[in-house]
Amino acid sequence: MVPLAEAGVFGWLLGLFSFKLVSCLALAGAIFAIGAWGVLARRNVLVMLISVELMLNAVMLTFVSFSRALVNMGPQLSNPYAAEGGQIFALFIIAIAAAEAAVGLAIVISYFRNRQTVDTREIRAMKN
Amino acid sequence: MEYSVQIMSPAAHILFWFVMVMTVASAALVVVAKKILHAAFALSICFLGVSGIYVFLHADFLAAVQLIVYVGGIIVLIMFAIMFSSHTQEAGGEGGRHYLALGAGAATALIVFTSVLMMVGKLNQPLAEQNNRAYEAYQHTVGITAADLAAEPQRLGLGHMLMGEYLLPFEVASILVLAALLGAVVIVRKETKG
Amino acid sequence: MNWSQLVELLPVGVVLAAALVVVFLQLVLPAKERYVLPMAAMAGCLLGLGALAQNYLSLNQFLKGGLPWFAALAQPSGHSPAILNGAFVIDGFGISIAAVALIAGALSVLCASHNDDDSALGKGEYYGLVLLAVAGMMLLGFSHDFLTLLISLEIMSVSTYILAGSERENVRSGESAMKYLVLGAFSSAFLMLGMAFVFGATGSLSLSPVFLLPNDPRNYLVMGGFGLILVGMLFKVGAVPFHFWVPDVYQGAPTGVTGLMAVGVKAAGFAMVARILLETFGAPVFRFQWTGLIAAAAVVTMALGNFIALRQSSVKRLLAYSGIAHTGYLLLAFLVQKNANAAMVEESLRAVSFYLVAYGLMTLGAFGVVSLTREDGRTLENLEDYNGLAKEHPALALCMAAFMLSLAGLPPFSGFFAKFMVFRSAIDNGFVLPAVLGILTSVASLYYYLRVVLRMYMPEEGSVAARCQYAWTSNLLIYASGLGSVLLGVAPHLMMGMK
Repeated sequence: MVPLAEAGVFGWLLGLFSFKLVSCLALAGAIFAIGAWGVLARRNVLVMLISVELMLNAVMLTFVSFSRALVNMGPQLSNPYAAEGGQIFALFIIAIAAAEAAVGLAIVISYFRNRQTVDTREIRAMKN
Repeated sequence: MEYSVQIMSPAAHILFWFVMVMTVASAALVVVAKKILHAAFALSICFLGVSGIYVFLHADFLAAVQLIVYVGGIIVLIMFAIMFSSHTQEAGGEGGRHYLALGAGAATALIVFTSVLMMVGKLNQPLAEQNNRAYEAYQHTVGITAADLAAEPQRLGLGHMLMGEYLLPFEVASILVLAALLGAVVIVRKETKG
Repeated sequence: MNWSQLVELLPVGVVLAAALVVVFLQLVLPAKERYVLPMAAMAGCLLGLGALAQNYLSLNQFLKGGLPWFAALAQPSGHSPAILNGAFVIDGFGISIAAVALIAGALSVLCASHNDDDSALGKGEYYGLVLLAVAGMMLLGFSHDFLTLLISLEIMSVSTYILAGSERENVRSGESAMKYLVLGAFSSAFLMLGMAFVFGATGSLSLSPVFLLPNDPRNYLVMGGFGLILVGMLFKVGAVPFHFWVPDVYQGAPTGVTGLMAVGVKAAGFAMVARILLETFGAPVFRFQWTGLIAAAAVVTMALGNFIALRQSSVKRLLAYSGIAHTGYLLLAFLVQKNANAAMVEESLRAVSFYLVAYGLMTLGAFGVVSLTREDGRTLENLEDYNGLAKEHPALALCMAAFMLSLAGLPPFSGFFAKFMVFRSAIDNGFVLPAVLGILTSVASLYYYLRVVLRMYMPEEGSVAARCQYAWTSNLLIYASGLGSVLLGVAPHLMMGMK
């Protein structure tokens, strides 16, 4: 691939995205970044939890992309477990995300019953 | 050997890019949507898009699981939660005092994304040599010999791996699901004593 | 896979079985017989400790005293500590973490057993979740690949989120659960993305060391992965700049759960830090790059934690900031120089284990006392509530004073020796400045610990006398931790001599 200095930013990006793996990783990076932004900038706990789900999806996508890249290595690969290890990990992240979503939404509903709000600006009973 | 060499038909190429753009756009919509219900709908579109990308990455099983668990399960769960806390349909805009949070969020997002881009830009190199070395270290810790390896079939199916090599983490994950089940039921249950 | 090796995870199995039994008993027992529930949960913890000790002794005997202290330092020719295809390792470090987790679980059970009025959960479910969290912590101590590490971490976290919110009528408890949940899930996501990058570079899910040539382009991937994993880990142990969730979460959660978080979750978090820093990124070339970061985080954490603790009026919040400061001291032990040999690394890890056990005993004891000072189903947690405690409950006040002085690091107590070992490890490795700053902040911390002691022994004029509940179970546990703090302080070789 052409170095950044020779190709210029646009050419470098064009070269970058002509690879499927790189496009998928960039997509994952974008989704992760959007999710992180959502958690930090939004003020509704439900939206924050949804944003965390976005981040976990990005992580899964990263694992699957790398897993695919490792499969493409084919015979060069001496580790038969590596290739599908990424997909297995992604599968487990689904379980983790589901568990976190169930518990998280339960906590939010329970809190809402007490306080009638899920806005972080009003969640400040404790001060130092 | 490149990290990834893939030959796709032009139609597949167009579809691939369509799914990519749709996924990013809906992810952005999740975070900027004014109404929380819209955010949830955008989230389901985003999940659909990611599952489409899985198909392009030859992870068919995961694509199906993604559809069933996320679009079929988690989205429904989120909808329920939204309905339960229904009078806050307004997703809570960014008030004037939150420039700091907005700035911090945008900065984090920008840093994460550009560093991912910079890193993957460097990835145009053969992987095998490195991988062999890591695997030798792995063999050393685990105590697998070359003879053991020769006895293994070279490519195992996902199901085989889940029920063989990864059976133990699979069982441990059942503890996680148990904890989540117990906790979620217990904390929203109305009547508790007795 | 050799399934017979599952026997070595028996302590975890015992705790899990106890969790299921307790939840089941809650369903079948009539209300007036529910007093057996805490007994069953305690029995689970004690049996777990017994199984752990048996495990340790039999392994040590089988290996002629050569059970490796840390898996990464095991001799290639010797016994491999890895079991079940490397998913878990049984080594001295993991066993010490599991012991701390079990003791923390026992305290949490006892704290809940004496206040019947405010926990909204059925007791059975509460104890069940405590035991599940403890099982997660133990598994985290033994994990040796990214997959088991992550799942154990989530078992622990998910149970603790619920436990933090278990006082449902209490707004603070719900708020604590909510903050812990959002920030915990957020940091887990960073941890997972880091793991994904490391997987992409090495193609392996094992925690075994990453080897890279200096000019390998995948160095960038590993560096990025390391940065993300470090952010996630510092979040979990509550180090500056990712500490902001700690005070609110600790203050809002029920006191027994706070004890579990301050001790068990922190110990398990440091197990993860040790495995990832000293094993996965433990190669000298990597160590050179992260020691500066860790040193900076350690110094800022100790300074900030101690400084903010100076002006706290709530004892729970004070203990939370003190916990942040102790995270800083613990991070000091991870500063190993570039060309340190295995013996020096092992020395540092022994310092970490000793510190965690000592800190665990004194913090659990202190939270035990806090959970006893309550009235009308409400925990009295302000400094004023401790006025004249020495007159009303001399034994409790004596124990509390011992815990405070031990946390400050005064000589006859275990806290002194723990800090001494950590500072010595840092100085031996050439990190003199962080160690000196650690000693200075530790002297400054004496001020706020002594404030609590003075309140108890020299009450202000005209103040209301302290009120305390009496529960023999909790008192017994507090006395035991007080005794343990003194014992480890005067005879540290009891634990360190295991070598």
